[in-house]
Amino acid sequence: MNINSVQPKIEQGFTGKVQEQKPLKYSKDTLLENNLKTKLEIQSDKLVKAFTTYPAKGLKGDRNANFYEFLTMGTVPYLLGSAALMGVFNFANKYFTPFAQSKAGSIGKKMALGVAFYGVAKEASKALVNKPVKALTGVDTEMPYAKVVEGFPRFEGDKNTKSVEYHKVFESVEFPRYDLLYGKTNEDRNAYYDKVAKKLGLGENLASSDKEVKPRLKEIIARSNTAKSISSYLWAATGVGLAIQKPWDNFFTAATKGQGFAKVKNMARSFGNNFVKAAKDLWTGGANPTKVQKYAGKALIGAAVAATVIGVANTVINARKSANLEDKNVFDENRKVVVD
Amino acid sequence: MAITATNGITTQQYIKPQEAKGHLVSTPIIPGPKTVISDAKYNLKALKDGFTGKANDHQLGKLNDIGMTVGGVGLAAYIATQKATPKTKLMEFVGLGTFMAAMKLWPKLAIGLPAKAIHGFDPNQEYVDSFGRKKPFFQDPQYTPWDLYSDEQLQKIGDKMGVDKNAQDRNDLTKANMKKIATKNNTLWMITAGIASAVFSALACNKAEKVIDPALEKVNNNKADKMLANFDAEANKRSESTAKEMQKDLDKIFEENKGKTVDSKLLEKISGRLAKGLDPVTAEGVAEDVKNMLVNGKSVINENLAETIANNTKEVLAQRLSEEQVAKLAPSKEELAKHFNETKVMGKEVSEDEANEVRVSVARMVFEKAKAEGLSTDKLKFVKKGVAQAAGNAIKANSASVLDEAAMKKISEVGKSMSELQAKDSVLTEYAQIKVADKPETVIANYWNTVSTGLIKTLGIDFKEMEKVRNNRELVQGMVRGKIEEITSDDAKYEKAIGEIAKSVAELDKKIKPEDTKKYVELVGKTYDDAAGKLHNQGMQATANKLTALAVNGKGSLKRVKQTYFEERISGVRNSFSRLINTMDVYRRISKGEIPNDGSSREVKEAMMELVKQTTLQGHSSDHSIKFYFNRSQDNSTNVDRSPVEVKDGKVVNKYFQEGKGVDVPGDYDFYQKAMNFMYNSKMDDKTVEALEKAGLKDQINTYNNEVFTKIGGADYFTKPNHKTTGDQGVSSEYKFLLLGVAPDEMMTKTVQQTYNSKKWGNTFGTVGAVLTGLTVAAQFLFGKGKAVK
Repeated sequence: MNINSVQPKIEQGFTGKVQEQKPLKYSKDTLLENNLKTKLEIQSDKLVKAFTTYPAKGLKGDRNANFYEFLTMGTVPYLLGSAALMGVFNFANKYFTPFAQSKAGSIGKKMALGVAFYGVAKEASKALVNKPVKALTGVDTEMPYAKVVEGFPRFEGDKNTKSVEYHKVFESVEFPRYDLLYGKTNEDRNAYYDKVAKKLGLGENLASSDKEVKPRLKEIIARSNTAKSISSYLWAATGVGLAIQKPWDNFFTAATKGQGFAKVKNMARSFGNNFVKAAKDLWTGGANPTKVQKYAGKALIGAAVAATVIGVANTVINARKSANLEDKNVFDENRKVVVD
Repeated sequence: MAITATNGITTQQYIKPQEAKGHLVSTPIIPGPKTVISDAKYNLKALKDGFTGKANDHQLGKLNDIGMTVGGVGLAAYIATQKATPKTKLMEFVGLGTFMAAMKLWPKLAIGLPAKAIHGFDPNQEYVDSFGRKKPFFQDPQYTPWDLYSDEQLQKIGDKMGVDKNAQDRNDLTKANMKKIATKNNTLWMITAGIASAVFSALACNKAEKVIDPALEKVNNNKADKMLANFDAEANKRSESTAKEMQKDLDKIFEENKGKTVDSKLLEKISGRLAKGLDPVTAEGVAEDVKNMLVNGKSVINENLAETIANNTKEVLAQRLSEEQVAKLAPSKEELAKHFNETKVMGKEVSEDEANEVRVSVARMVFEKAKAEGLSTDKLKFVKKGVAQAAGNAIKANSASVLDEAAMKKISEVGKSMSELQAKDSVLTEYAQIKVADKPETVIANYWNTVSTGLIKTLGIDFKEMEKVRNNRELVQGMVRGKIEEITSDDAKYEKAIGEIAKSVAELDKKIKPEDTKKYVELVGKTYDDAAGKLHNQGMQATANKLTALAVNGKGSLKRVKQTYFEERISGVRNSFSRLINTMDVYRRISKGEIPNDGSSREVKEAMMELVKQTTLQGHSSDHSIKFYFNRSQDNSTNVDRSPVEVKDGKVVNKYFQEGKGVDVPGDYDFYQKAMNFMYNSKMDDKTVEALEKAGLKDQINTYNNEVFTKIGGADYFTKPNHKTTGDQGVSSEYKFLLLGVAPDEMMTKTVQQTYNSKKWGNTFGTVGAVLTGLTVAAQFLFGKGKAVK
């Protein structure tokens, strides 16, 4: 009996094309400094690819398309959706009569500002959890690394099968990249874990600080992610709450005045002034608030602050508890197992 | 051979790997309650595990959904507090709901359904893994648990995809192609979801309003009706709490000020609390009464006064004198006390005249000192005047009236009456607010909108026509006139149109029943009369007067304002729509050629028809008050053409009349009377009568026509004294203004603009949504052309 190959016939290449190898920024998985420069580099790389390379690959059904690319493309609906929301409130205005136009325009501009504040507050607020958690536990839950992934060759002799993805060391609670945290020499092998152990109050010069720290790392990831998931949306809501306050009307008026540099300067000053005024109004309920309005803004801000504080406290306090250090013994010394 | 191991892991003997429990799940487009509940349970457990640090990656992913929902509800709740009306509050939550629904439904409807129909499988297919975690099957193209698809399922999908039946490893080919199509669809989803969610959510909100509006109105209207029907019970219920609150607040003021001098601040506090929630005019009355009640007009001379005068004098003198001079001249507290004792006024309550003597004596005392110091005449004058003023003010402020038990008792009694009035008034105000207030979403506002927007359809105005004319009242006027002429010249069209208008106009009496209006007016009367009587007896005459103004027959009183506001809001709306029906009827009679052949020249008849068309459709109360200035020629020579007017398709074919030519003929009252008679005092068209009878509006329109004919037609105008239909009725210009309501062309201008705006918006985003959906669905036909299938 003849046995034939079961490989599906893929017609994606193998044309014998000769290709130059493009140099990659990283040759292997590399831990990166978590600073503004890296963040900007990663964000811009992801943003550009989310709108170019990844959709192009995805729409072709490229078999190298993966979950990372799918997740990275999540920015696309976020940004296009925000733009569409702004459009929904502003686009048709130009067809309205002047009075209706000015009414709809004011609402539309605030909605657009709200969409922008939603996004900014949601992302920026994550630092409110990260920073204190890092300061108090030594664990930077957002620590980035560059991952070099190997894809299938697209044609015979394809030398560019590798690509770089940007991940976070602790993005998976089940599979954190512990390996990247070890030092290269025997002396500094456990340096990271020693540092965290000390911060968490486990002591210094531990025989195997990594063993002690790892289960705690998992808990820190789970707890701080929970805190971020809930609080960031509450901060986003607060951002929209801020954007719908009356003082912004002055900003939109001021934004039309002046030209060139003077205009930018004018806008920046007006933005700052009205930001403060809007924040005050959000807190107090503005001029002549009803009873509910008086407390609504406070409740919204209070909920965001509470979610953040509780989330951080829950992460930090539990991480620093020293109880339950010993692993539970899964061995039963009295039991015999017979394998035939 | 058996191997025996000790210290082994505690397991059962002959343990085998656990059987895989993963399976595909089919989730309907709108998940049932069971799925929703189990998903919610899972998410809550994820939250708990996340909080305790035990959550896995899948659970942490789910927390994003919880965060989005919590944040969304928080945001909707906050924005709702910033909105004024129940509908706008509700719409915040509807907006959140539609946005979330659009996000969930878009991939299922626009991608999943067509993909399944075309390729035989759903790229959104979900599965539950052995640990009970529900995941999208094709989420990660590098990890697809193919063993969950049975051979039978794969064969069937392969058939649909047209995979060669005889191909080797046919299922592998099918799987490769499924993966490819799913990857494409996941990408398509990401590209389209943002725009689709925003656009469809907005469109859904727009549609939702059509369901929410009538439902909400029904709820509010029923609430108001119940409130009026159970007025006494409702008022008593509120009265208990308002009385309690009032006494509590007054007690607090009493506690802080008991035995203290009644000064302007205290008066303000007390009267402010008593008049809380009332209008500023009535509040003025309350303040006046409270002052009269608590202040006896006398001042007391005591040590406190000595101290105040000493301080005030120092301040006044320092304005023009040196520090040294001030120190020498300004009397000390002790000095003044001594002066009061010497003049035997210390501890006395003094009247205004006596207070003046004290003032003068203090001024003289300082003046004498200043004279001895040798101050200039100018400065001496200043000292005398300044000290007198400072002392006078201090004495006046040092009132002898104190807040004693008797005063507190009196105020508490007034508080009871005021809180009872406030409780009753709050019920009536709430009723009036729901029914007729000048704001969106009241019963009358909704009624107005329903009838006026219904006219767009009844008159057959399409989007393009609206687009052309919407920015200009005169263009709308021309279009509406054309539409009415077209409809009124066609029996069937007119019957339908007037029937629709009459039916919708007649809804007013169902929504705000005339007997309820009467009851409301009576209740306002009784509430205010009772309160005014009680307050009057309690010494609150000024307040009582502001409430009912009995002396001037109620004119300008709060009671009258409340009554007439309600009635006039209804009249204004009712008259506007009565006028619309009258306009339709006048045009109908002209279209049918029912033009009185009264021997006038044809030109005059033509002119009159133009006049009545303009007056009914677009005339204002000013046109009536000047008795229709209208240019025409007046040729009454014997040879003039007196033939009947020709009407074609609802339009008068003018043989002689040309608008703008000729002059206004001042003495021709006959022309005026005939025009008024034609518009308001002629038999209505049969079809109009039929429609009005069916809707129960015949009497209303007859009354309306008669009112305009007699009250407006009978009004006097000095340059045209004989231009009258009847004797002068002497009604107010406000009444005449109200009677004519809104001109139909103005009503239509606003309606056209609003309808156009909402249609333009709907069309724009409806098109975006439709194109996006079309492209997304069409993409499936391209996705199937992959090269994996041979």
